[in-house]
Amino acid sequence: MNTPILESVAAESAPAALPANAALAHTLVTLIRREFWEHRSLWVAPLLTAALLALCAIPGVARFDLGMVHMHTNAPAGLFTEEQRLGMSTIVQWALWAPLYLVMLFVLGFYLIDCLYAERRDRSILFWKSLPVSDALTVLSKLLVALAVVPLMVFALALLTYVVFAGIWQANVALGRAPAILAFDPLVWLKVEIAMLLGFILSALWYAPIAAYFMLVSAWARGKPLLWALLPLVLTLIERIAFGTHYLYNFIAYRLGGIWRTLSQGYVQHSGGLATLRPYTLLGELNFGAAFLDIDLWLGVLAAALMLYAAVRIRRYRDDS
Amino acid sequence: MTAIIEARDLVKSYGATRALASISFTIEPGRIVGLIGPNGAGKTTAIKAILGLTPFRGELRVLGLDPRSERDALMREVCFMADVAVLPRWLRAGQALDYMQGVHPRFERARAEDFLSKTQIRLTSRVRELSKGMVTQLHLALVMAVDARLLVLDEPTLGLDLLYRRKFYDTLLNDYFDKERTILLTTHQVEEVENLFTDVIFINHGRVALTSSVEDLGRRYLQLTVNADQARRARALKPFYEREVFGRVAMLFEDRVPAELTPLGELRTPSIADLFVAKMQGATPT
Repeated sequence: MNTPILESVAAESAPAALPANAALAHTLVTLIRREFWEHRSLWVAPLLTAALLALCAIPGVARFDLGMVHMHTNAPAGLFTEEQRLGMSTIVQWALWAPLYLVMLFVLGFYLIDCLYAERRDRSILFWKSLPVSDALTVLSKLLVALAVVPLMVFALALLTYVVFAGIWQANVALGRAPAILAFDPLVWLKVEIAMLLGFILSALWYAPIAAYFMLVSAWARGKPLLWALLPLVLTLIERIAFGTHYLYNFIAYRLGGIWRTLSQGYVQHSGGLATLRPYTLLGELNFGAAFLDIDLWLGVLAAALMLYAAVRIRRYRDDS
Repeated sequence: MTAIIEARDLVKSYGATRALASISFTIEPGRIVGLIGPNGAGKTTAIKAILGLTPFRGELRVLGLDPRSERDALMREVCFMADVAVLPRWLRAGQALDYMQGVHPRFERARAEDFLSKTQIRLTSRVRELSKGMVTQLHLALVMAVDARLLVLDEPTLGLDLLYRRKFYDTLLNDYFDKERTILLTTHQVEEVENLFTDVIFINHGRVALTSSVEDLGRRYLQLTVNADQARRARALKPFYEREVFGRVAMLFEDRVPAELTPLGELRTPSIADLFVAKMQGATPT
């Protein structure tokens, strides 16, 4: 009974149709674009943050006080060695990246909690489900937005912010309005960028179970998904009051920060002071190998896969719209 | 020809409530079928079953596919419009077109653009800025540009004013419907669309109360209007429903020969709305 219809579909759409994989990729790209239309904070917030950070390069906009260097416009040239100025550049590179990364985590958290709930709240799920897009592909598109597309976008944005920042700064140096405290070395720059990229990938994998938990809540909750998403935090308090223990707290703290401890194992923080200022590429200093081979990282990815499967099933069979 | 929809003994309960208590019907291609029933009769549940939006028991083939397990393939050839409020408020008309083009292999963008150009809707308009009637026009533009074999409409004109309703059904009939397509429609406003239907399915309390083509309705059902003095003789022929209208009595008969009734009073084919009311209110009091 199926075959005539399936054959007729194939026959009719064959000449114009794209090969199956290309069509799937086309659909996925459309689904991802859709997320950015609906959740504009995904790109607006990082973009605004990046713009503000780049503006900090303009003298007078921000005051830099790193404890060891007071950047006065009248600082004499040659105050710093090349090595120290390279070190300063890497600090700037990381300092511009960090706020963007934090803004991204914040925005993505809200996005994930909302992404499968909003369509049920406004009943638009009836429209989305009237089209030939599977529940698995829909959920996958939202996951990809959170774990790949937005992180890569923010990574590129951080890179661009640094270029703009350095450009503004150097222009002011040339005009004698800013101290010449930055120096550039393509290899050092590249190493920092690679460390950042690895950091983004590691972050995506480590936080995958939290992302999946948020999506599961978003697919499941009848109302107030934000409260359900934060319920584990409330439970830590209850555990503490009722039993005086910290198991859940420790578990959550570990799932939030554990991988960064693994990553920084053996890394020695140098005490401040100009004497120790040197390039912080962090690529060699951080323990990326151990972090990527961490068993808890991959157990988390497995847990994420199970929760996502549950979210797909809930979206497929739930009937309350 | 194979049926577009074949439903056998569909059963669906929500907790203790029986939304569908064994429903069976068949819908042939090229028909416009009205699924008609009072609130809570199970119309929307039946439609959700057909679209694979809800689990149920029983046998159901839609375009030869099982909506439970083959939903993704099914939705390539089925279009669905629920009532007006389901397009997301943040969506722009142009984005809606982009989206359809991106995910639907049978969507023809030019058709939708052509349709929209005859409306007040601009491509930059957001759904939240449009009136209810315009949102329905936008949704209709999307649906009409899809080369689908089955269009399912669940109260598509709920809350629209008469002008938009009329325009909606005119467009549907003149610009969309042809012998290759099938439309399944639920509505409360039976009187307004009864000329549209080729077939009707009445459901009540989760059961099919009547299923028939409109042609057969004319053959099977007769409405006789008699003066009070003829009422007793007419009642002897066992009408299944009667009501008083301005001192006269209107009675509905099933499977009677016109010749039997003509001598008693005025005879005509009942409207679908009259028949619906009669069927829903049950047998005549004796």
